[in-house]
Amino acid sequence: MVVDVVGFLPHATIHLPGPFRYLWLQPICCANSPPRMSPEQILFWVFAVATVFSALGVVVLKNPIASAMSLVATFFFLAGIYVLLWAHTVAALQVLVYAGAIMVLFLFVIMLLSINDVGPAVQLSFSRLLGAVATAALLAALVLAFRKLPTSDLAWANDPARLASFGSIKEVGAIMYTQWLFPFEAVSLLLLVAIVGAVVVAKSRI
Amino acid sequence: MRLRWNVIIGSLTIIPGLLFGGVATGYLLGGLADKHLFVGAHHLVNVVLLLLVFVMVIATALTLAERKWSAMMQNRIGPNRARLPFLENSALSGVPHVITDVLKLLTKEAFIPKDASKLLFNLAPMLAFAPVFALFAIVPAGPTVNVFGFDIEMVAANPDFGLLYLFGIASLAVYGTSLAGWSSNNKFALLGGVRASSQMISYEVALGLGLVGMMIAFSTVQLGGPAGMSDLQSHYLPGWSTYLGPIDVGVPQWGFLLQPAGFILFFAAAFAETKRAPFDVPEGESEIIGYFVEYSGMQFGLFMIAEFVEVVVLSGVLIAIFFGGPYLPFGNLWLKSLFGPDWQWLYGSILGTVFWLKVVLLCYLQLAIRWTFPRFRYDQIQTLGWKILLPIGLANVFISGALILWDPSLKALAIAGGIEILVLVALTLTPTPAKSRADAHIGHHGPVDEHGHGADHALPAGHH
Amino acid sequence: MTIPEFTMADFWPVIPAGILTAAAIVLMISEVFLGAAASRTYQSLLSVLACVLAGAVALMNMTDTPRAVLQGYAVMDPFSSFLTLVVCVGTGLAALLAAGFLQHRNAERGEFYALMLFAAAGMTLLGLSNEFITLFVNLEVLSVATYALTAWLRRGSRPSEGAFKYFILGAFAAALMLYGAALLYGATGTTHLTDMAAKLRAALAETDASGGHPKQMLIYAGFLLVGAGFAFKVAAVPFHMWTPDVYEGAPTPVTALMSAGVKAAAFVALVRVFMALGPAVDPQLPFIAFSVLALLTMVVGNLLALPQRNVKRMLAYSSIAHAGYLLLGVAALFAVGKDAKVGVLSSTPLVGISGSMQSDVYQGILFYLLGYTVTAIGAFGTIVALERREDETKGNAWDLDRFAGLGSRKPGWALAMTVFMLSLGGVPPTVGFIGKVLLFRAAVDAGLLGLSIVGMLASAAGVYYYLRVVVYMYMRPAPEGALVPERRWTTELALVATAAGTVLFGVLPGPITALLQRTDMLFHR
Repeated sequence: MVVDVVGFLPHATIHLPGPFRYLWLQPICCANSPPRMSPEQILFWVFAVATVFSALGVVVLKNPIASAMSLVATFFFLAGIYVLLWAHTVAALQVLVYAGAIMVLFLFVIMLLSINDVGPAVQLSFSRLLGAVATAALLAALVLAFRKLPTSDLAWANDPARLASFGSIKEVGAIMYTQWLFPFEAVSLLLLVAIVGAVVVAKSRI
Repeated sequence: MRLRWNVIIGSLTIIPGLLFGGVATGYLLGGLADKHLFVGAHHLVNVVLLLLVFVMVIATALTLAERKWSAMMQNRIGPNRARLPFLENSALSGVPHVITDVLKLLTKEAFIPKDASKLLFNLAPMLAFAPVFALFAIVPAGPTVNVFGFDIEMVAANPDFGLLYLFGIASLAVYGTSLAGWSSNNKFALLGGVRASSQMISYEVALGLGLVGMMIAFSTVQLGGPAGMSDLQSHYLPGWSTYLGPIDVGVPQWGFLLQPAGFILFFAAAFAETKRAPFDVPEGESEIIGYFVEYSGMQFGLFMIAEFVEVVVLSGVLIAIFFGGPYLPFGNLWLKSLFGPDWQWLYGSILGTVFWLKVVLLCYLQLAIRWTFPRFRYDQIQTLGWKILLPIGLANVFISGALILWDPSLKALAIAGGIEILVLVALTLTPTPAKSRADAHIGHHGPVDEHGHGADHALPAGHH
Repeated sequence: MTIPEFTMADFWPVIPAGILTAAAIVLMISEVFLGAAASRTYQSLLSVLACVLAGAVALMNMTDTPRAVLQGYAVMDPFSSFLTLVVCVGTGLAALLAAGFLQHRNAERGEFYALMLFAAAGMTLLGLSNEFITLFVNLEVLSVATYALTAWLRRGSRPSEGAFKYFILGAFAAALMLYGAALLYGATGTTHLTDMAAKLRAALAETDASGGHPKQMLIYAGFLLVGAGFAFKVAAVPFHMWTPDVYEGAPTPVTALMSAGVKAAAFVALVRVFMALGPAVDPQLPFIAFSVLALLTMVVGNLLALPQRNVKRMLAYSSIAHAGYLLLGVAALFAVGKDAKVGVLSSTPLVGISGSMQSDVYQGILFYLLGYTVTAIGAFGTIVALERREDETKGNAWDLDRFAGLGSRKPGWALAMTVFMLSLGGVPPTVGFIGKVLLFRAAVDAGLLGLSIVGMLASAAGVYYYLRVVVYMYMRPAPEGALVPERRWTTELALVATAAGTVLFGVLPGPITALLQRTDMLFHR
């Protein structure tokens, strides 16, 4: 089911016609459902593919501003995936914090520093090679690990009461300010330290 | 100036009439959509009607209104050259200028400077326009009423994280301006873009803090819906209401009464986000022209219309949060009881008209501010944001929080708010001592000439 | 949903951190009202006072019953309370040293002490975190504060290099650790350490249709990444590369704090995480991993320290070596019995760890941490007393020659430095000796005889470079035209305190060991 955040997404299921049956990609959940795609699955693949491509853009694009904008797009598509995970409050915060605040500062800094469009030439060296091998190994290990994961439905996927409240801002807030009190306050300490530290490091004369 | 009664009476009937017709259409179409398509389809109708019709039409009308109002304030006539065929003898108050402006923008060449980053250059106007426009999606423009057996909400979308959506989307507008400045390959444009982004970053903090008091008071961040801020403002403060005959009266828990300081903070910060005078250093027509200096044709038009859309959207947001949304200060219950269960859409349409009239009034206020204040210096803008608005915002959050904790019925908050309003009124009415007024005059307007007029009457003549 | 209840009993363990934070905020606010030329000695003293108060509360907490607090996100046990005590001692002494150091460079500001206290608060909170997200956040609190402190003096390339290296590598290590924690969360569905242990067992036992263990790889990858992150923080070989540059580049009082407090806190967190999760996975794995790490760290740290003429750098390498001794203790915690498939340098049959022995190892680790804190801060304190700002750009501010003839010029300082060097080398009658005895005895009891012998040999090699400083102080004449170092009462007070502590705890370890004689040092559910 799709989390109906805005209140008008039709809860329809789109049946794929015969020839397209084999295009059906099995999502992580619902392994035993008949070959069809719910709107959720379609949206998932849209967001997933877009996330991967815009993330690639961050690495591949030569122009730093374009690279930063690609990162903004990545955050947006990630926010979409959060919505599909019943975490629409987190999605809103993702847009608010990452796309709206942090990346604006990134852009601001890039514009002020006026970094050259072309970065340093990439040369093959031993450490680079080693890094590439390590990255590939990590990727392979993770792919192996994730491929083997069991594909079972969430225990409460059909519990309407839980679904109605899960991920809503009230529930997130209540949990964050009561159960998660200690980590929450620790984060506030972290932010304070980060502000003081940034000022200390950046100011020319204290 | 001669009072033209025909114009006044005409606008007093035509404007509310048009608005009423529009809102009523919205309710009826929404009811039909729910009945014949699927439950919730009225949101789709609202997307078209509220965003594409109401906001866009009012914003377009504002392009003319701004020039007419500014002309009135400066004792000019304003735009009156464009004429419609067969009506060559009447300027129609300049209305044909809207059409000629659009034609001009659409037919001009869309010029891209040499060495500009093409993709980003073309992307920037869209990024400037889209977020501002999308903001209105969560603003409820009328009460929820039952039409054809379906509850019709007069809002495009009503997510439970309403104000977070507002902050998140509002903060995206800066991409358009800064990218426009950067991709133009022009030093003035870049300056404008950097100024714009630093100004918008600075004011986002005050923008958020201004609304925290309201969030605490109503313990929600939602705007629409029965538990949203807009509907909660239709209630009276508990115990402070009575009936005068059939009409209910009392002290409504409007945001402006509960949180005057929050209103001023939010209004000032949001005004800075619109980048209009007095916060127009990113444009600074007389010095750097602005981040859109290289844009022409409809790409420039997008930047310009984004500014006016922002004015409308800001008015809508302010009304939904601080001025009772679509509701009247009193008599809402009485009004609702006038209509039978089948005629509730009439009640909704009346209140929807009230909402849009409030929006028009606030738009006028914004235009008046824009044409009254001289441009702030860059350092004054940063000082105002970080050293004045931010501390006031923090103090306001703590004081409001304490008052709400002490008296959850919000009466203490309302009394404190009333006192704040009285203090503000008293401060405004207190005449400035003669000496400091002379100083201020010199400081702001340059040397006073022998007639006592400041030097800033030389307004940009080429504005239209 | 149910709103949990919080009582005062929940907040006692975090009160020391609260005191430190409050003092830091007072320092920052008071700084606003000071002119550039105002005397700022009060800031150092206020920091010391805060540390004393926080330490007193921690001492009180030592005797409280071990329990989970704050909804299980933190624990209150003697283990973390003692760490708080150690951190407070270290931070207080480092703050005393900082006064003279900063005044000499005209760089004394409230923010420095505030950041120090923030770092200390982060360390104490790290020690009692019992949940991965909390752990990570608190680790970042102390890391961010130390990054900023490292960059405090921005003159010259050394501080910038140190701070930048520390920041980049630290962020990378934190990311690794977070990734590992995320994988473990993915396998178990919880971030609470105590819950995770039980769920890990179940997750490992899960089988799929083909008889494989689907979550095995996920869990092992998670452990690897978390372990790498911790190894970076405690500067274990091969994750030690940053240590010498960062220790050399940072202001010396900050180096003292890093070598003592950061390391102690990271060790306590490491023990907590792996004691909760390690046995649930596979008793062999953490044992082998920590044995190898300990072996490498002890040997490489000491070998690299041997050729150093730069005393600050030498102390940096020595701190790596000491991390190795501590890792030996950690390895002993996981020692497995006769059914061990693999043993590293185990010549005797492994006896495995049992309840009372575990308590001995905890005791050894904690005593060692206290002893190392006092001694290392004293050693860095002597450097603070001797170094001059003019030499920093020349790069010979910490050369062994600075110590030549100190015995005749400043006999008091030379004596103190001798005590510290002896203690670092593990020579009686100092606290370093007792610490090593407790640690190695516990390791030998657990059957790690071979590793312990390597450790002793390595520390014997260490005595060479420690004593070389002593030789320079007493047997080399002072160079011509050597400037007489300035005396500052705060620095000398810190030196006296650390030297006295080093000898006193070495002669009379009784009160400390009595404090540590608690059967349930580490909280288990």
